[in-house]
Amino acid sequence: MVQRRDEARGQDAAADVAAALGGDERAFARIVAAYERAVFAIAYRMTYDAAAAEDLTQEVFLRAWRKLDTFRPGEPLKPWLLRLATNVCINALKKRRPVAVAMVGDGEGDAREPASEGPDASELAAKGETAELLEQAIAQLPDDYRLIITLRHVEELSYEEIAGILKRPLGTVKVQLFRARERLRRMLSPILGDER
Amino acid sequence: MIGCEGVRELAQACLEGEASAAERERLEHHLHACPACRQMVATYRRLFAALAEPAIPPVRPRLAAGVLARVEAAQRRRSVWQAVALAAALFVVGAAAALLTWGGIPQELSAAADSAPSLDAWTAAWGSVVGLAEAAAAESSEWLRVVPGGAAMLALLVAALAAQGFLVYRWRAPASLDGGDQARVTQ
Repeated sequence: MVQRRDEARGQDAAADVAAALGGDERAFARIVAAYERAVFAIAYRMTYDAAAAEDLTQEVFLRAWRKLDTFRPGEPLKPWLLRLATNVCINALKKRRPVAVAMVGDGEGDAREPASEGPDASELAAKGETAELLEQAIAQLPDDYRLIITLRHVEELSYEEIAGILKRPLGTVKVQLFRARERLRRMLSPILGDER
Repeated sequence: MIGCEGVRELAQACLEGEASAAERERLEHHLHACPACRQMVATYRRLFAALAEPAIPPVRPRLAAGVLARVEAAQRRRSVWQAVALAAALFVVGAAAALLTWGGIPQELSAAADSAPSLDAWTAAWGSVVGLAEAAAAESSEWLRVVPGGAAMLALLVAALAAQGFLVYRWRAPASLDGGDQARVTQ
């Protein structure tokens, strides 16, 4: 069902890309309307600042407009756009955070970890609903993990698509996704019902 | 059989529909005998459900309008650069023509160029230039020797090509997010 919807959207997107390449701004507006939510979600998860996320979303689409001629017809547009979004967001984070927050290794050497242990889950539980608590927990994850969780669970991309976007081996993507979810489970275990 | 350590990975794979039937059976077998792992898998199930309903704020309706405003602003800037490029190209061509006519005059054309340029003189000059161009195609080094201003013209043309290349690069270069001249529309 989701795949069929994506295929239909992909065909529409290909026609819109062709029209936009010819300078048709209305066609580009349709592309923006179709994918702004997906791009915004990435930007928001990387910044947790709605205004900054909107700025980044605009930046992503501006670059998309300029680079449309590098898009290969026949390929799905969404991963191409999300690759742009990922690059724009990571670069923006580097600019805004020239001195990285204190990080320590996670013991397995493939990702950074905030020095903070994250919010105390029982403290979080008192503050609001599960979704809000989940967002606060995700905000505590390293950038890589936040991104990968969003690409998988919000954008519903396949492992292969995520590996293509992040330019990482498939195995690395699977391992990072596993670790990210495991951390979330541990952070949220008091409200999710498992103390292990 | 799997031990408790293998449950986490297998549980995630099952919840994503990535596990095989045999793997699912092994997990079920373990969970049947291990209440602690059963509870952990239930936690994973709730986590996956929560991940499917993120608390990401909705996109503001005017965001698309902001994007299009920035695209239009970029288009306007591109038009300005195109005009600059065209003017630069015209200038170079004009300069080359002036150099050819009044500057490094080919000896063969000097008689025609001595007097104020008349239509006949221009026609003669043009015919000679065409002839010289044909000769240049055959032997460029010979052309450089015959035409005193040839080297200067070549330098100008190279400079023009470099300028065009720069302008094309400038069109393609993405604007910085922090660029102050962008028509950023925020709501």
